[in-house]
This record gives sequence, C-alpha cells and structure tokens, in this order.
Amino acid sequence: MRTVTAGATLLLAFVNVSFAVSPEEIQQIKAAVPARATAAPKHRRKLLVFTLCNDYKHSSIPYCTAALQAMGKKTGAFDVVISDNMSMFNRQMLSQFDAVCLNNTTKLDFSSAELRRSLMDFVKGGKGIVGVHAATDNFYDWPEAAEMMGGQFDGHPWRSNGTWAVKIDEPEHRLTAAFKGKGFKINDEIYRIKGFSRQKLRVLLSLDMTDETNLSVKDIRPSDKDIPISWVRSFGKGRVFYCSLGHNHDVFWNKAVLQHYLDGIQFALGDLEVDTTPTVGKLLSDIAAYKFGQSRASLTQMDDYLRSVDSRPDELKNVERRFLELLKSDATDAGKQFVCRKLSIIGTEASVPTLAAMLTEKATSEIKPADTARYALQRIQADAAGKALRDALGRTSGKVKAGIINSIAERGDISAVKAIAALLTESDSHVRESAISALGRIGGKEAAEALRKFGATVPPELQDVWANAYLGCGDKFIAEGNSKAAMRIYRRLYDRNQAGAVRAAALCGMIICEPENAWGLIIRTLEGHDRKMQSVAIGMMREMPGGATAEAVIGKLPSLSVSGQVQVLSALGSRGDRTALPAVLESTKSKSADVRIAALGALATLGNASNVDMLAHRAATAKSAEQAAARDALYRLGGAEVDKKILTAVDKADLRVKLELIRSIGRRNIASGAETLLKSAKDGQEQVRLESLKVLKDVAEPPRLTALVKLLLNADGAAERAEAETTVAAVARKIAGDANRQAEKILAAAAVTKETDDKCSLLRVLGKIGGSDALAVLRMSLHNKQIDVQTAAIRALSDWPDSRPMDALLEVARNSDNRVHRILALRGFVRLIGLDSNRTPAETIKLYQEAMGLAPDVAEKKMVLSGLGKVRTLAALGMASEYLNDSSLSEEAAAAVAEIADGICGEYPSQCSAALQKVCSVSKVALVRGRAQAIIERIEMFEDYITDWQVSGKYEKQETGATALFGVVFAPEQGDGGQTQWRPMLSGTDKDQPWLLELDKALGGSDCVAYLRTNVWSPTGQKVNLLVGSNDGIKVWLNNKVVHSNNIARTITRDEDKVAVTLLNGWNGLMMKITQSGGTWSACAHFRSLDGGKLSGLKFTSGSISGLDSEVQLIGDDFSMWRGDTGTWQIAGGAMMDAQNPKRLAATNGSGVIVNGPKGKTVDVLSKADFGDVKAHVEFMVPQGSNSGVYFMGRYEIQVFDSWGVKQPQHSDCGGIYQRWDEHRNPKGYEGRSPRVNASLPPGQWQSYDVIFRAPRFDAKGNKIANAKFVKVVHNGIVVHENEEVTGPTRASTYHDEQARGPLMLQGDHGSVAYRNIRILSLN
Amino acid sequence: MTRRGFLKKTAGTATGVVAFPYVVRSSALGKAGTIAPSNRLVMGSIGVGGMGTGDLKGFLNKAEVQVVAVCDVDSKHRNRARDIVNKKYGNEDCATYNDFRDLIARKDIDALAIAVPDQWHALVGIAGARAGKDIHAQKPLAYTISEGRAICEAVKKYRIVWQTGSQQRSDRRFRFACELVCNGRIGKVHTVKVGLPNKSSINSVATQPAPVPEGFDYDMWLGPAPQVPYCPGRCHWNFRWISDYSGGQITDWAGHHCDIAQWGMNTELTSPIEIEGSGVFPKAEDGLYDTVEDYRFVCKYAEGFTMIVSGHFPRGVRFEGSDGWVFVRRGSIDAYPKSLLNSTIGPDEIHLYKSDDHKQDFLNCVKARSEPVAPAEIAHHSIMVGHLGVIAIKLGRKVMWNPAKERFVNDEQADRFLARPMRGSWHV
Repeated sequence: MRTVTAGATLLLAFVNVSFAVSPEEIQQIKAAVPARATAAPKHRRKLLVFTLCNDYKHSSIPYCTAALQAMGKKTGAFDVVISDNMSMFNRQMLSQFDAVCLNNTTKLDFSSAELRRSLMDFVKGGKGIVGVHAATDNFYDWPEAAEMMGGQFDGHPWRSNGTWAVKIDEPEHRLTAAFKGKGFKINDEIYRIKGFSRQKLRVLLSLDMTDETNLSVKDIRPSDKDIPISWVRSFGKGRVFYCSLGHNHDVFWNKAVLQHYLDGIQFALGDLEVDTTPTVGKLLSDIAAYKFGQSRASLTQMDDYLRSVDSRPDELKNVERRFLELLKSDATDAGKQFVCRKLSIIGTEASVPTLAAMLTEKATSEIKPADTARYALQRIQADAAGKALRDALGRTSGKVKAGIINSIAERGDISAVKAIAALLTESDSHVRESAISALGRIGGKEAAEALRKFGATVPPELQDVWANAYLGCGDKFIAEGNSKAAMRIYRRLYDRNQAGAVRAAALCGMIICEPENAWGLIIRTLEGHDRKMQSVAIGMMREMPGGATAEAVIGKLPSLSVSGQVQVLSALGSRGDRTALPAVLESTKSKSADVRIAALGALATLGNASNVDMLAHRAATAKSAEQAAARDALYRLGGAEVDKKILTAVDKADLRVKLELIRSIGRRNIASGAETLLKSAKDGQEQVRLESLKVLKDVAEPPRLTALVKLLLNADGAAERAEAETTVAAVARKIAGDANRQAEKILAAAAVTKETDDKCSLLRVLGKIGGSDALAVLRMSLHNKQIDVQTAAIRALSDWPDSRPMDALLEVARNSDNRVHRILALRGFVRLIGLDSNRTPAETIKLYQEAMGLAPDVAEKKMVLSGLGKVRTLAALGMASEYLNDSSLSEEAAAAVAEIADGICGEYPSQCSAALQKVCSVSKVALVRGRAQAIIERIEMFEDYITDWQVSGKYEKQETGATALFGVVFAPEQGDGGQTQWRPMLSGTDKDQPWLLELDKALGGSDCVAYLRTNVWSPTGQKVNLLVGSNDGIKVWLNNKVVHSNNIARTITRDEDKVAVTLLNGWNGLMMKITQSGGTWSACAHFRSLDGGKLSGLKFTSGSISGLDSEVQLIGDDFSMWRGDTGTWQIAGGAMMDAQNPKRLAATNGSGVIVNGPKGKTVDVLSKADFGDVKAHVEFMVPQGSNSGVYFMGRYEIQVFDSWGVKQPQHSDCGGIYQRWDEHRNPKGYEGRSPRVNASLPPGQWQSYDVIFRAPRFDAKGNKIANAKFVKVVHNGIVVHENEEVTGPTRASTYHDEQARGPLMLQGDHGSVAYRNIRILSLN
Repeated sequence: MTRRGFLKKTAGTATGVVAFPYVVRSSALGKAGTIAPSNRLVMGSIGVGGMGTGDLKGFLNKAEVQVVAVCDVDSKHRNRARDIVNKKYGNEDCATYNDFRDLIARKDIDALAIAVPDQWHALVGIAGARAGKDIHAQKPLAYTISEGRAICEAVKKYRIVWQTGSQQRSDRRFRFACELVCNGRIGKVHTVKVGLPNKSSINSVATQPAPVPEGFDYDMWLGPAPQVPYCPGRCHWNFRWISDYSGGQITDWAGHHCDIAQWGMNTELTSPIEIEGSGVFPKAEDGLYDTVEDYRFVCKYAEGFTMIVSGHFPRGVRFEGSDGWVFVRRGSIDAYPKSLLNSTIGPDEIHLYKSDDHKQDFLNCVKARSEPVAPAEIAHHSIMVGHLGVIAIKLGRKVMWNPAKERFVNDEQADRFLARPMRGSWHV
C-alpha cells in the first residue's frame, strides 16, 4: 500500500527494510520469464532500471528488478543496469542507455534543470522510457514529464488484497499478445490515473468497469469510468510504455504480465515496432472508414469513450473538433452518419458551421448529407443552430427543405414563423404540408394569423392538415392562458364542414376555454342530434368538476339514445355523482339491456344499502352480463350498512335471491355473517343449506365448530352431508397447530353419537383432520359391528395424512372376509406406502411387492404399479422396469417408470436414461413415450449443476421466523450422523430449469428450513468457485466447515452467490441449509473454475462414498483432518528457510502447508483417520540440519532429515527406514534400512515421498500372520526401498503394539519441518 | 386550466381508485355471432407481422368486430393477413394497403389495431387519432418520451379511446398483486425490483447489406429513421435490437413489468426523479444490434421508494415492503407472508380497474367512451421508466428528472434524448 502523506517521507526512510527475494522465488521468477525475445534486438541493448524512492517504497521493487534481470539474461533482449543514484540521469551517463525503466520510483527529485533537460532530450530524441506501477507517482512539479508518462497516480481504490477484472482494450495490438485477447483477473493494486487522455495515449489494458467487484470498492467515485492500466505513446521521437501492475510480488511470476512487460520494454528499446496511434485517433480513423454491415466495435468503443469523458469538457471539446474534421474529410457516409449522431448529443455551437454547410451539400448517395447534418443540428440548442436552419430554407427544396422546416418546428423557433408562413403556398407538397404543420406546432399570434388567412384558400387535400395545425395554435393559446384567442379558433373549427375529429377537438377546446359555460355547452350538445358530438360532450362530463350542474345532464338521460345513455351512466359512475342515484336506479329498469347493465355498473360506486334488495333480486333473475353486473355491484357496494342489510335480508328472501345474498356474504367476506349462515344452513330448502355450508367454510371461525358439528349431524341427504363434512373439517383445521386439538370437538361428538350415518360422517371428518386421538378411534372402528362404520373407518384411514395406519389397513387387506373391504384397504395401503416415511428404499419396495401379491386382479395390480410410480427411488425404478415385459401391465409399468424417472433423474441420470429408452421401445402410448423422451432431454439439460442430493427437513420451531431459524442449529448441523433423517431430493422437477432444487415441491411449508447434502469428488486439490442460488437464505458447509452464509429473503436467481472454496483431492462433503420464509422455496448449486469455466472430472453422489475410490488430502486450510492437540503446528501458505536462521523455517500466510511452529519443537500430529494398506504421497521441507519423520500407522517411520550432500546415507538419513530399538539387545538399535541412494535435495526445498505400504495381517484370534511392509518408497522420484518388511514399530513410535489400522503420524519435536500435499489412498 | 392539468387530475381518479363499471358486454349486444355487420365495430389492422397478426386474430374472434382492411409494408405479411380475414368471413372483401395513411383515410373504419415497430408508433397513432379512430396499439407507447407525450395529447384532444397492448393489466394475478400492494398488505413499500430479459433475443438472419426484396417497401419501413442500406436482419422481429427503431429489451418490456410496478405503487401518472444505471453495449460484430444488454438501473421516486430494473433479476415484479413482499410474473404470484395470497379485497378497499380480457376491455370502452385499463397517458408514464433508464445508461451518469415538466433538471444534454430528428419530410 502506498502512503501519500508527504510528512511521512522521512519516517518511511527509517522504517524501510531491505526486501529480499528468496532463492525459491528467484526460481519461480526465472521459470516464469519468457524464454525468447519477441523481436530480435537490433543491437545489444542496455536498460537502466532505476529504483530510487523519495516517498513510499514498494517491497515489490527487488522482485521487479529480479524479473527484469532474468528477462534480459534469458532472452538476450537487453542488459540491465540497476541504480538508485540520480547522477545516472546526467546526459553522459544516460547516453549509454537505450531506455530507462522507472521501477516503482516515487517522487523523484528532478529539481535540477540540467537533469530535466537531459531526460527530456533522451526520450524526445528517440529513446524509450518504461514505467512500472508507481512510476506515475512522480513529476508532480514537472508537468512536461507528467505529460510524457501519460498520467499520474490518483489513489488506488482497487487495493492489493483484491482480485480485479482487467479488460484488453486492444486485443489485436502487438503488445497485448501476451493475454491472447482475453480479459483476465489479477490480484494486485490498481491505480486511478488522473490527467490522462485517450486522445494522446494508446490504452492497452484497463479495469473492466462492467465487473461488479471492480464497481463495488469502497472509495470509488462516480467519475471512475475509465481506469487505464497499461498504455503506450509516442513522445517526440521517443517511446513511452507504462503498466500499473506490479505492487504485489507474485505479479513478477505471472507469465502473461512478464510477457507484456518484455514486449513493452522491447518497444521502448526500439526493437519492437507497434502502433502508438492514440486510442481515439485509431477509433476515428476506423470510423472514417466504417461501412454499413461492418462490425460496430469501434463505434461502441467511441460511445464508451464519450461516456467516460462525460465530465471532462476539454476532452469533449477536442473530440468534437476531431469529429468535425472527419465530417469535412472523405469519410464514409456511415462514418459521418455515426459522427452526426454523436454530435447530436455532445455537439456545441462549434459544430454549427460544418453542419450548416452539409445542409446544402449535394447528395451523392441515398444517404443525404442534409438529413445527416440535421440529425445533429436539430438537437444543438445554440441559437446559431437555429439560424443555420433558417438560413438554409432559402437554399433548399423538396424533402430536404421540408425536413428543415420540421426541425425548426421541433425547436419551437418562433423567429422562423415569418419565413415559414411564406412557404404556405409553395408548390412542393412536402414543403407546404410541413410548413402548415410547423406553424401549428410553433404557435403564437403570428402563426395563428397566418393560418387563419390561409384557411380561406386552403385546398381540399390540405384541409385536414390545416385544421389540425390551426387547432394546435388554439392549444398553444390555452397553454399561454389566452382563452379568448383560443376560443376564436375553436369556434371557427366547430363547423359542420370540418371532419368529425376536428370538430370533437374544437368542442372539447371550447369547453376547456370557458369552464363557466361548460355545462351549458354540454347540455346543448346533448340536446342536439350529432351522436359523435354527444359522445364528446359526455366524455368531457367525466372530467368536469361540479356536482349540481350535473343534474341538468341527468335530466336529459331518458331522452338520449341507447349508446348515449350507456355513456352517461358510465360517466356518472366514474364521477361518483351521488345525486344521480335516482336516475341511475330508473335506468336499471330500462328496456335496453345495455342501459340496464351500464346502470348496474354505476350503482357499484353510487349505490348504498337501500339498493341491496334490488341488486340481489336482479342477480337472481337476470341473465349473463346483466347478472354479472348486478352481482359485481352487490359485491362492491360500499359501507358497513350494506353488510348489515344483506344479513337481515337473507331471512325473508325467497329462494334465488337468498342464494345470491348468501353468496355475497362470502364474496364480501362478512365475518359477522356466520350467525346468519348457521341459521340459513337449517333452511327448509336444500340449495340454501348447501350454499350456506359452502360460505361457512370461509366465514366461520373455530368457536362455531360445535354448531357446525350439529349441522353435520342433522344433515339431510348425501350431498348436504358431504358439504357439511368438508365445512367442519375446514373450520376445525383453522385451529392453529396440534391436530389432536383440531379433532377434539369431533371426537367428543363421535363418542356420543349413536346413528350409523352420523358416526360414519364423523369418522370421515376425522380422517380429513388427523391426530393420534382420532387415529385410535378409527382403528377401533375397524372392529365395529356395523359394516358401514367399518367401511367409513377404512376410507378415513386410507385418506390419513401419514402412513401410521398402514399396518391396520394391511391387516384388513389380508384378512377381511369382505372382498370390498379388502380392496379398499389395499388401495389405502398402497396410498399410504407412497407417503413420507423413514423406511429404507428396500423396505418400501418390499411393501409394494406385498401389495402386488395381495392384488386380486390385473386392475388392482395396475393400481399398485401406479402407486409405485410415486416412489422416487432407484429400487422403485427397478421394480417398475421388471413389469415392462409383462404384456398385461407393461403400459402401467411404462407410465410408472416415466413417473419415477421424472423424480430421480437428477440423482440417477444414467439409470433413468436406460430405463426410459426401454419405455420408448415398449410403450404404445404416444403420451408416455413423449414424456420419457422429454425426461431424457431434460437429463441433458442439467448442465453441470449438482442434481444428486439428499434432503433433510423441514425443520421448524414454534413462532420462529425464517430469519431467526437461519441461526438455529438443527440435527444435520450437529454432525451426529445417525440422528438425521436424509431422503433423496427430487431434482429436475421444473421442466425449464431442471437444475433447480424445488424444496417447496419436495417439502412445502413456510418459516422452516431444510438441509441438502451431497459428496463431491475432485480429481485434485483445487481452488474453485461454488455458485449457488437460493430462495430464501443459505448457509453452506464444505467438509464440515461453513464456507458461506447469507441470511436473506429472496427469489431464486441462479449463481447469485459466488463463494471461493477449496476442494480437497478426493471426496468432499457438501451441505446446504436453505431457509423458507414463504412462497416458493428452492436452491441450486454448481462448481466452476475461478475464471468461470466448466470443471472436468468432478463426480457427485448423495449416497454413501465408502467403497468408492477415496483418496484423502490431509492438509487443507485447517487441522480438521488431524487429532486433538496440534501444539504449535500452524497452517501456512508456504515455507522457506529463514534467512536469519537457516535452521528454522519461516512460514508465509495462506493455506495448504503446515509448519511445526517457530521453534521447530512441538507435538507429533496424528491423522484423525485410521489407515491400513495405503498408497501415500507426502511433500516436506526441512531447513539446515533438521529432522522429522513420517510414521505409517503411527508406528513405522520413513525418516525425514536434512541429508543434502551425504555420500553414504544411513537409516537415519532422509529416505531411510528408521531403526527399531530394544534396550535388551546389542546393539540396541536394529532393523534400520538405509536408502539405496541419497536422493535428498538441499535444505529449504520441497521434497517428496511416494510410498506403498502394507499393514501387518492378523488371524481371527488376533495373532499376527504377516509383518508390515514398505512395498515401495520413492524419494524425489527415485526408488529407495522395495519390499522391506518391518517386524514392529520404529523406536520413536507412538504405539508399541501392532494393529490392522492406524493413523498417519508426522514427527514435530526434532526440528523445523513443513509438510504439504499429503494424499492417502486406502488400498483395502 | 391547461389541457394537461385537466387530464392529470381526472385520470388520477378515473383509474387510480374507483373501478369502472362493466359497460357493454358482447353478449349483451345480441347473441354471439348474430350481430348484424352494420352494427359491428369496423376495424383495420396496421402492421401485421408476428404481433400484429396475433392482435388481428384476437379481434377477428370478437363477434362485435368486423375487420375490413389490413396494412403492411411487406406484401407477404399483408397478403397473409388478408387471407386470414377473408377465411374468417368466408368472403374476399378484405382490402390491403401499403401506406397506413390510405387505410386511415377510409371513413368507414371506426377503429385501428396498430402493431408496427416502436419508432412508428407516434406517427401512425397520431394520424389515426386525428382521423378520429379509436386505437388498440402495441407497447411500448412510443419510441421517445416526446412522441409519447404527443400521442397522449392527440388521444385527449381528438377524444379517441386508446388501449395500449400492456395486456398484463388484464391478468388477474397482476391485478391482485397490485391490489395487495396498494391496499397496504405488505406495509410501506421501500423497493420494487423489476426483472426484464437480459440479452437481446436476436433471430439469426443475414446482417449484410442486400437488395430490397420484391414486395417490401423498405423506404416506408424506415420511415423517420436514418437512411441506411437494407439487410434482412434489420427488419421485422430484429428491429428491437437496433437503437434507431427501439430501445432493446428495456423498452420492449418496461411497458409490461414497469407498468405493473407503477400500477401497484399508484405512480402510474408520474415518474421517477432520479435515475442511474449501467449496462453493456454490444460490440455488434454483425454491424447491427446495438441496444444495451446486461443492464441495471435504479429509479428513485419522490413518493419515497426505489425501483430497481435489472436484466439479472427473476423476470417479473417484486414489491418489497415493511411487512412482506409480493412477487408476480406471468403465470404465478408469490408473497410473504404466504397468507396474503388468500386475502380478500373487501368492498371498502381499493379495487383496481378490472379487466380480464384486454381486447374486450377496449371494445367495451369504445362503446362507453371511457378510458380502458391501459390508456395512453398511463402507458406513457410506464414506458417513460424504460426510456429514462436507457438515457441514463447511454449517458453513463445519474440524471435528475422533473415528472411534471417531463424534462430533465438543468440537463441540456439529457434533454436532447427526449425527441429525435426525423428523416426526410416525416414529422409528428
């Protein structure tokens, strides 16, 4: 980071430390620099790399220097001289160089005029200058040099710890070849640059300002629209190349950036010739040559540029000038047209002369210069533009002239009226038509007078144009408040000879002009016989204020035509004129149905309680539209009085009216209507009783249950009974929560009911409600003496909301003497198998097989198969597939397979595809084949989204909303394995977006949460992005660690959240928690590479991963793979030998490496997992003289030691199988095995072991029957042991016994050591 | 009193709160199919491409309508439409026109169905209004804000009935969503999220200059737009993705979802006061399609809420209030709390204008001379949101807007986008 406080300079000088580049980093840099120069140097080149800082000193300076040195050496493109001595800028010194590179210099002191002249002459005279990162943080008091660099540092809102999207401005430019035309993301600090201009620089790279991350930094300003990163320019005869990348060290082992720097330096040195035409200049020359049909890329770029300099008048002024040059050149028509469009927005008075000249320029193609120029001229506000247009009137003709008139009219140029008026009699029809219209659009006394006069002689074909223009003058007068002048115009145009529309406009104008006479005018018009004008008057009436005067109109109602009456009634309704009520009521009796309907419509707003009877009556007796209008009015009448009136009217009304009134209680949602309805539900007429019960369902609340049960028990006939049952159940369910409470009242009634029918009814109601108390009663009722009661109980249990009564039904299906009961129970049983349960898929299939066995005939077997179709498991797919070959059942089986596959195709895409293919060949039903085919296609649409999931939930907590549930820890989060019930998640349920996991379809509910889990196999440890979308909140665990958390209510948007995660090599556990606040509920997820590309080689399974290839990566970004105490072991990003103390390792920040702490002495660490036979890969680093070891099964050690350079390696050297130890033996140490060769690398470098290890074998009694064996040990790629048996644990082993399995152990107490990339593949 | 002031005041009460009564139902005019041709509404269709043919068929299915003429600058479309009409009536009477002015000149035609490219809406619509024809015209109302204003003035001035093809207003789900919002069911609304399609949906047709095909009046197709060479990829469906003729997905869809957003917020006769946004202008390697993609713009309203329009939201309108939210799109509605979906709008609450059949509503209003569910003035303000978004994105900066004056606030440069210069002798 950079500090701009000048006062801090001195302080900084003291705290500056020398930054060393480690040997390892040097290696990295060397490996990354390009191998060859892009251009052959014309002669031996010398580059001065200058590193002096008078302000902030970047720690990246030595990295940059190292990179430039390596680059020069490897490619031969240049030699490097490094200096921080200002005397290098003396003329003589400088003359030795071909170019200067300012490597992150800050605030260089060029106060010496001599040095200034020297550097300026150097560059202007034909040499080069290269700037790295802070090179633009100089020359604040030397404008010429600042200009030379192209711009200056102005803060860095894009900080060094962020990753920023960079766009390639010039993908074709030779200096961006390094990036292969593709934008990229980089972790670096990006400068805001001030004082730069694309009119002077050729910008090569800039920040991608369409990228959300780039736009969402804290200190961004609205003016941050163009943030150049890299550019070239010509300066005098010299060459300038600058790139702001280079704050972070790792930039200097970024291959593409290094290539970019090499190419830029070769350009500056004079060896690589590139186009330095400034960006805008290049765009302008592209635009000058642009032809229709060619790519608009340069036009779009010009637009982007103009947007970016929106707040920079100097830039705009310059570009306007250059646009004008283009217009005067022989640029293409298309190019000029584009430029004029731009000038129409940015053009100023300066553009007028050039554009004016084009107005009279002769057209050489169908693209007319006059139209092109006018496009800009019309919009330029300057008076000069108006004058240019007026002046052109006299020098143009035909459509060009007409166009100019229209532009003048659009500008509302009142000073042109006289000139335009003179054209009214011109012979060209376009000119004349435009001139007349223009006068109407401009308006004013002069224009109106000209049109008035012209009116006397206007030819018939222009009559309408003239009248419309003249009307326009009237409107303008009204706008100015000159009603008198307007009125004169309208009066003249309200003339029988004028077209209807003109007269309508004139009449409306007159009404507006004289509001005090408006009603009189309206009434007079209504009295006339002109239907069209009547309509206009009625229409105006809608908009007129004043109530009393409306009465006069109301009085006219009966005398109007049918359509006139309809219009007036509609108008009265929308005005809300309550005084019109009597007249409207009268109209409801009209002979014309249209009028009656309109009157009923008006009543909806004008009516009151006194109209209830009439409306109900009309609703009961009228037909179709009139009935609908009456009902609508009845439902909409305002006021509490209306409700009261309806309730009192019910009692006395006769049948059909009563029905309407009862219906309106529901539609008006009259809560106080329950009493009335309970009464009418006992009405003598069945229809009334039925309708009342229906409405009670919505209106009645639980306190009415007793009364409702009573109604049910008194129900007369099957229809009423059924309706009453539904109503009772619906109202009972309104009791919040517990189903037992909901069933209470019904159970109470059932206990005392004697009548069979009533008992049956109550049992059916219980079936609809549920609850354990109800279930007990129903179970008992299966043994009731009365057959009907048994039947009702079977039916109720068959409808049960969960699978609890399954056993009871199975019992009946198996053993009942009654065939009907057996079949009913079987059907119920099959239905209940289909409900949610905790059974395993195998158990469920067994139940279906049982049902299949009980089915007495093909029809029932088909029923079972169709039930099976609802089971979304692989086992069900298998069972259904079996029947595909049974000719009597194959169609049902095919339908079931399609149905099952529909649900599990996400989980088992390949199995489903295969079964569906068979369906396509077996089924004769096109619909089923079509469905199968559609699912096959859907499977292809999954893309790379994860569709194989298990779901758990939903989880709720009383009175806890979704937002709060987000933080509540439910079983799946507790990692208690067995406690959690997981079921397969249906995927592909949304045909258009099969990757969507629709939890609402799977679980339903609101204010709850669900968990989804699966396993992801990655072929390698890798950093990737997890892209998820969710409705609503989402929390994600990867390998039991929370990696994402977003507590939100939202609708689903795929990939809305992006989370960078690390996938371990092998299987990774992935779990998501999704909250549901209400409405739809869903989620989706997939992995992508960090740059958004698809990942290859990922595998998913929501099932068990045991038995699958499982390579385990033991080192990640925490110690979750390791047991208990890890002492001072720490997670690191890298390790290197400490420069201060070569016996120690220094750790760098990050993850993927573990180091045993600063002192190199701590505990040994053991893996959580136990292993037997394994194939292991281990990477380690030791500093000078250090010692550690890798213990297989915590017992058998391969030594880790700094054995660099040891000629005769012992068992105690690196790669050795360390010796065992026995105090009673002589020698005490035994069985150590030396490596065949010493394959060690120097300390401080990463080394590797690849080991195949075989665990000892034991018989059933636990006696060892085979020794442990190192089948193969490979050190740094060289085989050092083969088939070496060990008879027992090594000396420093954690355990003294031998076992079939044990953990991997790393020794941590013998000196500094680092480990990384430990991958264990279990072989047994 | 100015015509405008007059209109705003009354339009507010006409559609904001009180429902219009049912007026004339087709069945009330006589049994379906038995209406004498002389009593039917005589219509002509202008623009009979994809959308126009759909509208034409819709009207042909109305017993009270008699279509007598079709007009299109492409003879293929014209003849196809003519055949559809003739087949429907079992005769050969349907007249065809290349120039809309000739169709409009027919005195026997009462009403027009207009479905032409955006840039033509004002010219055709105003010509129709001046001739006193009632009009059903496709959205967006107009190509520029100033042309939209001119349509509104003409509709008011010549006393015609104008229905805009924002047919979501005649869908019960959208109406119900808006009723929930305007009756305060989700509390005070702070944000409205409007999701529109993101990318231009370009039909793959040749984009290189080519000879104008026989039977296609290209000069007339271009009309007021700048002169450019013909190519097949420019015309018909794809005009939407070329800024000379349309504003792309934003203006294609603002007339639907922004319209609904304004309806629910009761801001259908006003507009935002502050607009800011960004988007990506395609490089148009094909040389043609230059309307913005990947856009997002934010509108602040004087009424105290924010409307965010984005190509990255789920398509539809999401109202977010202090007590919940409502999301509505074609075919579904969702809300939180869920119970809102079962709530009844009582007699004393705000009932929005009820139309369940967009074209029928137009016909009803023609008879009652009343304002339909999607009148010009409202459509003007709905599409204004889209236009303002496009302008803000084109300028790349925040713009301030004066809804009453329909001009930007002290922003001469932005004002230049309000009207566009027209080619040759074309003018509004």
